[in-house]
Amino acid sequence: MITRRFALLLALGVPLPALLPSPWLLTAAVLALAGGAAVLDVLVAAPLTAVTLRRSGTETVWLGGSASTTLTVANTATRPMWLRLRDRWVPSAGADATEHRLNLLAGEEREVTTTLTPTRHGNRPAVRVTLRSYGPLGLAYRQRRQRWNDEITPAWTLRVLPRFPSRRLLPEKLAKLRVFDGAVVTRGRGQGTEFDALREYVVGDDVRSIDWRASARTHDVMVRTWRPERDRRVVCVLDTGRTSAARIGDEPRLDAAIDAALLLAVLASKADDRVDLLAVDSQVRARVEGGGHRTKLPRLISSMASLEPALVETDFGPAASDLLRRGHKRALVVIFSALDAAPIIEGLLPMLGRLTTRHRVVLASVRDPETEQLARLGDEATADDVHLAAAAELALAERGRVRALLVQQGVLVVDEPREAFASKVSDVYLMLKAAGRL
Amino acid sequence: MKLTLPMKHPRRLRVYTPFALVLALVTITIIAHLVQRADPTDSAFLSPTSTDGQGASLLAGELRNNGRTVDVRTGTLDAVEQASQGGPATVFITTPELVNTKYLELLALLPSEVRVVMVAPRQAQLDQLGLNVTAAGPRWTAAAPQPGCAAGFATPGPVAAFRWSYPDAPVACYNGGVVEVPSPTSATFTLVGAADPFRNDRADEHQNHAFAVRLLAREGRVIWLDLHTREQLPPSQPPTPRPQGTGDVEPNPDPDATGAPWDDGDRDDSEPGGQANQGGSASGDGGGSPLAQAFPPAVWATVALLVLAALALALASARRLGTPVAEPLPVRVRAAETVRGLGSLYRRAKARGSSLATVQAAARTRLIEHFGLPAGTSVDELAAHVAARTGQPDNEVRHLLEGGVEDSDEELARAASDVQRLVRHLTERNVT
Repeated sequence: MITRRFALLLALGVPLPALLPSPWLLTAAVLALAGGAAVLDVLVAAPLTAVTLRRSGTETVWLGGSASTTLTVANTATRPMWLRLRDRWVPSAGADATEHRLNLLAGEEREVTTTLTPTRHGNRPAVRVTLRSYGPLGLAYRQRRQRWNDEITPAWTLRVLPRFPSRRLLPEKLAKLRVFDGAVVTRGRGQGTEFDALREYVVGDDVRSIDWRASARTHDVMVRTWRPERDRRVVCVLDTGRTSAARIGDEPRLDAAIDAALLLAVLASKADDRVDLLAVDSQVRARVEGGGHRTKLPRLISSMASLEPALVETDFGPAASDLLRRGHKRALVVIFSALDAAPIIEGLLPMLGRLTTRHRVVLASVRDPETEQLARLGDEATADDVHLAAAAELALAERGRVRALLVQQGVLVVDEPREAFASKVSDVYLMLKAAGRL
Repeated sequence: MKLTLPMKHPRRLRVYTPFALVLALVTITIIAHLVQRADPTDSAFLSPTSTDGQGASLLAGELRNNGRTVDVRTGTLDAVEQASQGGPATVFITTPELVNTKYLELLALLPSEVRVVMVAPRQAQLDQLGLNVTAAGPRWTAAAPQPGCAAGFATPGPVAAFRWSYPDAPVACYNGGVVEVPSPTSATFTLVGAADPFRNDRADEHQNHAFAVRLLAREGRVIWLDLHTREQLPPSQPPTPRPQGTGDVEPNPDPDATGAPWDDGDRDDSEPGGQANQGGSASGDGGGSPLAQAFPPAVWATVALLVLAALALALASARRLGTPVAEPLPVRVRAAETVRGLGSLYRRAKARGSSLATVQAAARTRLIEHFGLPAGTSVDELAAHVAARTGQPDNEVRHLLEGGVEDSDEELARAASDVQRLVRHLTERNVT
């Protein structure tokens, strides 16, 4: 294939027929010269089959951060290669410079680095490396079909973990956890509800914790000590249905839910509780259960990374039947959804009775401040504002009814704006844990 | 982008606008002039039968009325043959630039009793005729000078004959716009510098018509050469004209083996402006398209090379270094989208009553919750409760909390704002 330089060569020959006699002969000569040079150039250009590609670099990055991947290009031919390549990623991978020019001597290896700043979480794959080998004159090049380029492209996927802005709350929440865990309080043990050990009474101990039977056995006054419950089960149920696609502020509701679920999972793991994950819309999108404490958290984060909102109505049936299976001990079930009538009343409410009898259920929903702003009329309100306010009042009233219905069923409802959402969900967990109601 | 650029720089706009206007005017004038200019290849141009503006039917009619025979010929050979027979005649050549150069030489061989009137011949034709006259011009339009001579055709007033001029002719009239080149041995040539005097649409201007009639009516016969295509040489040998009655005329200044004047091998017969090729080179192209003959091969070769270069550029730009990658976009909907949609529906339906009732019901619920009243509290009880706190009359508060709305947007806005203001006043005051 020819390059623009070839066209330039022809353009340079344009004045010749006008300046010299036998114009057609000169035209043919210009064409023959340019064509011959181009053919020679293609023949001399290094073959593309002599290129080998290798990739290395970062595999995982948090959303908002940057990662770099390195593509190593080697020329195994016996002649030099003038190579131009394009390293294509999906647009949301945020690759900075995709096009590179390399002059490779015979047997030489060069690295090209692409910096990726992803704009969405999930898997961001490298799609294709397209190669083009130029001749020394730059008049023509060799380039193969897309399928061939697909085949030689080394597979690489950057795993972009979801944004976790509430990470900054973690020290504060862990401190709270340690307070009632007893790790910070130097005197005595914590104030949990689970029996920990017996020890001798010292002045200042609560007399209500004296164990009289043990005191009789040992002829000394013994007191019971307590610690918070451990090995409780926390199940995060993420609704990835249509309501999770709603944008609150700058991000979809699902991202806020993932952020809160991550904070809760980290906190629960630190508190030696087991965290499971279930993501559902019309079907189960992700399920993380079992496994050791150490490996669980990375698995959870990784599963959440690939979650995307789907435009379908959520069916809580599979999740509920999963939770109601026999053998499952009592758990804290945190459902991250929206306080919308349709999915909650039609999907969740029929099984809520059975769920609440076996588990402690929390429904966490991010509140949209825009509805409340619309419901509030300013001094300069117009009739249009009143119509909007009426619609907003209806939505608020419906949300209030759903909330009342859930509370009536024994569900704890967290309905907070985005800023306080993750913190509030963690607080509910900490509160339940401190009260021994997990 | 280019269009918006001057708007961003008003000063630049001020500088450019006058120049652009002048340029546009000049361009329009040139185009109009080119379009309006008479075209000799148009079949109506100075045709004795055409009543068109650029035709000359008026002139032909007038000549016939004066008892002259108007013999219309469409080939120079034919006209020359007619002129060389039958005594005195005027050969009127309207488009000398279309006459084959070889035939022009034949005109010079016509006998002395024949007058040849040519309309705006160029220098090339004059040279070919062997006339020792120089052509000057052309002017943008034909001027109308006074005659300034005593020739037989001269009119008392001006004639629009001065576009081309022939200043160094022996007999010059109209400031050189009309000249006569007499010859004792061959035909007398009269050169008219513009076609305007002969045209139908210019007949009434100045003394154009009278001049044209006088010029052409000097002999009993007018042989009108009505030629509108470039003349080609016929494939067979044309007859050599033999001047009658004058034995002292040279039959051919340079006769060759065949005796035909066009076989002399002289191919350098091109006219200025690249209008040649109808001679020797035409035999090679024989019947090729006029467009192909209009430009020299060098132009075509340059154009071909330019086209090929453009094609090569297009080809080089066409192939991409890998196709763009598509990716499904995530679904993103504003959370309050349904609220806004419902609000728009209310607005379109002009549901003022429903909207106000909803806002009032929400206000009542808030007040009941705020005051800790039982859920089933009636509006009257609530109004009384509120009136007791605010000091407003009961019925006024009741109207605020439950009243309807007249059919006006302003009243709706006022009523809704009032009820919300009341709720804010009560709840926020108590909180603080």
